[in-house]
Amino acid sequence: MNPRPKLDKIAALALVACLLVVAGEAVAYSGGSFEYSSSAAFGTDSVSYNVNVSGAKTYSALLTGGSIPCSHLYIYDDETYEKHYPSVRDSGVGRKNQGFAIDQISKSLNIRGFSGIEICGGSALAQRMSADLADGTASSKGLLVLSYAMPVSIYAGSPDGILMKWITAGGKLYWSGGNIGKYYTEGEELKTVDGNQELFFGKLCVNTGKDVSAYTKIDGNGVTDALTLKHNSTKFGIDIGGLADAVSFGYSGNGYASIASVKHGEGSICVIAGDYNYNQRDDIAQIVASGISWKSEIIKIDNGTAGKGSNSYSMTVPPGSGKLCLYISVGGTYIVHGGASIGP
Amino acid sequence: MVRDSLPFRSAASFVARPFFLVILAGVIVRIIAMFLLNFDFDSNYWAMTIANMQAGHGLYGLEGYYYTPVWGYVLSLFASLQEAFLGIDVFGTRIAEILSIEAYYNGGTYLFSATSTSMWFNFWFKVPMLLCDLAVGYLIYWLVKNRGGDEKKAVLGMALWLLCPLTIIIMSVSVMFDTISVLFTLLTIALLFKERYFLGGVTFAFALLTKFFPGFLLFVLIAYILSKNRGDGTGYRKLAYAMAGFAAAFLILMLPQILDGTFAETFTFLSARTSSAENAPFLYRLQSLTAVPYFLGVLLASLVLSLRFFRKEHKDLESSFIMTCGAVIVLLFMYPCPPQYIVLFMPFVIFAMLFGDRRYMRSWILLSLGGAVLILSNNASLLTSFAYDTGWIRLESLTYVISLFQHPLFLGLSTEMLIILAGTVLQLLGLFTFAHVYLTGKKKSEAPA
Repeated sequence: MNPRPKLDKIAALALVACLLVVAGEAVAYSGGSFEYSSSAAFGTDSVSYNVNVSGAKTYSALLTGGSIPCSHLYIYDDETYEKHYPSVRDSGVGRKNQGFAIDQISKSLNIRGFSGIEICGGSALAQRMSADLADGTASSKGLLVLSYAMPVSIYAGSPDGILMKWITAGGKLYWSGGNIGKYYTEGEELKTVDGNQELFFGKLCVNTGKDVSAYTKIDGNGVTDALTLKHNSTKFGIDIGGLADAVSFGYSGNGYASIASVKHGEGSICVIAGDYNYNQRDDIAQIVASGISWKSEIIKIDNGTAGKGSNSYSMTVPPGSGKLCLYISVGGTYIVHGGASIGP
Repeated sequence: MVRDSLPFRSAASFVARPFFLVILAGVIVRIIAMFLLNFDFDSNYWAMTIANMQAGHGLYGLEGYYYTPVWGYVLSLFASLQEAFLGIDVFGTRIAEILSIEAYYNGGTYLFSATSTSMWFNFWFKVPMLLCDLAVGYLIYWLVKNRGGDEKKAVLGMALWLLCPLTIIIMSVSVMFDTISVLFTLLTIALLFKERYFLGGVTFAFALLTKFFPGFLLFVLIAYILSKNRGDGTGYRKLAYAMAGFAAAFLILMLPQILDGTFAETFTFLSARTSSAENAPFLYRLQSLTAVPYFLGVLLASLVLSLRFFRKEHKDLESSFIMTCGAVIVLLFMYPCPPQYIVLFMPFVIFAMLFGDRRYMRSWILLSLGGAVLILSNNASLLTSFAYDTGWIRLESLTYVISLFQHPLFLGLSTEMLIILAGTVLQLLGLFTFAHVYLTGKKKSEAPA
């Protein structure tokens, strides 16, 4: 009888260690290992919703009335970003890798169930916005600007440009590019606008100072927690004090807010303060995907832990709450899923 | 019948053995630290990495993971186990009350995060590192015995790893995964000793794709394989086996990134270390500018040391090989580096202590203390998770203590900066001590026949 072969402990340890790593690789890339989804159904006086998770996760459900997410978001890709950046550096605008930021924000929006994204250069954007104005669809559109300047075909510092008309007609502007409307590009030149703040908000309210710290959570409306907003800078953020029809979220310092939404005509201007980073990326995605704005009436916020599997919940809806939107996000500080459901 | 190296006639006698007691002590002290202290700045990134994976973007689709993929795969595996069996619903929280500590961030020296991962998250995702620490301890035990050491010496080697303040703190407080890289590096060495070249090549790829530093041992490993098989002329064939193992493992590990076009992102770690932030202090910018030439120099030195090793006749090839590896790594880390990198060096210091010159003990002490001081310089911030989750420490107290450490104390330097400088000096002294003993006590450091 042959003696039993001796186990090579070192080889066995190596094989186990390698196989565990490869198992992790399979989990990371196989798809189906982690699954998160949500859905909602609106009744006459209630909304029932479902959160499906492959493992326990915190979730929050934000029910709002009066404002729904835009169905289509333009993201402006400024072809002249690098060229003119040295001219604005001293104003405090942080340099960003615009292409990378656009890619990251698009993916973050996708996670939150938002897919109507169109990345546009200057001329394409001007065409789209003109068409929106012509066919009256600006109110269902959004525009995200990450650059410090817009092309003259869209904005030249006056109220009769496409941008201002588009917002007035109901478009949602999400601005995260420094001092809003301070610059525009014309040909090879970068031009400066005087009175940009008055044009957008009717008064001076943009934080152009050095102190950009924001250590106080804006929690009066519960949105900061419901959307787990994280970015706490007020650089080029606005102070909504004295502004009618305005709301702020996130964090504040010296009166300025990290995120603020202000009425302009029929539309809205949402200023997301600070330089780009992954916290700001997530905040932009949460704000856009949830459709939250100055118009939103916070009806109810639910949060808790969804256990592994399917979890059903419901909320009562007071009558006359207007157009409803239920935005569910899963994962808390580290969002793995989001989704908006629009009511009747 | 010859019993194996881990004989235990009964459970009682096994438990009473120093081998077990060392493991027990190492585990207990780690578990306490794993719960109590945490470096949130890095664990926040691990939580982000897991969330990005769970959201379907793999390791590199969304920003948050800057390393080669092995650690990400480990996180992925433990995330799936966690979902299946544990139910940790909260990964972390952005704590408004401590946002002010992030203002101390200065691009390199102070790394504070107000996003704090939860205690259970911290504990669970440190478990793979704990297991690796134990496996490394066992490998040191095996290597010492393999080179002719007795049980007492082997257990001492294991104890010097498992009870080393540096390795304890890096794994259980700093949350850095260097121990995984150490595990695969030592496995590579042990497998080559056992002439399992293909598998040795595989584990080397795993080591390299965990952290890049074991890559600097490439020439020494080649020299060892060729030297070992010089007699029978099979050196190049054996080297080919190892290379085949390496290539296969590399391909398997990198396949997702090759297919989804994020291959370049897997090396962000390298560019991040050589293109420091514009706002970083002068010394850090200087460091980033000199990093590439320095590491190229180390690679060249590694080639020279390997050639010397290859050409020379050795009384004990394996021990000389280990010492040559140690020499390459000490050169590598003489360039100012964070303490977690030093973890890769510690097994070689331990081996040198046990088989070479007792003076290497000074190096072990200095490196252990230096690394521990550097990590603990993060002072009260290490208690954030514990304070937030238990409520036993007021968050205001934490921010107050953190601010005290930031106040200028001497020559405009803050207490924290002075502690960092002290830790850095200790660490450098530890490295120079090793180099000094290596150069002056060469004959003594030739391992036993």
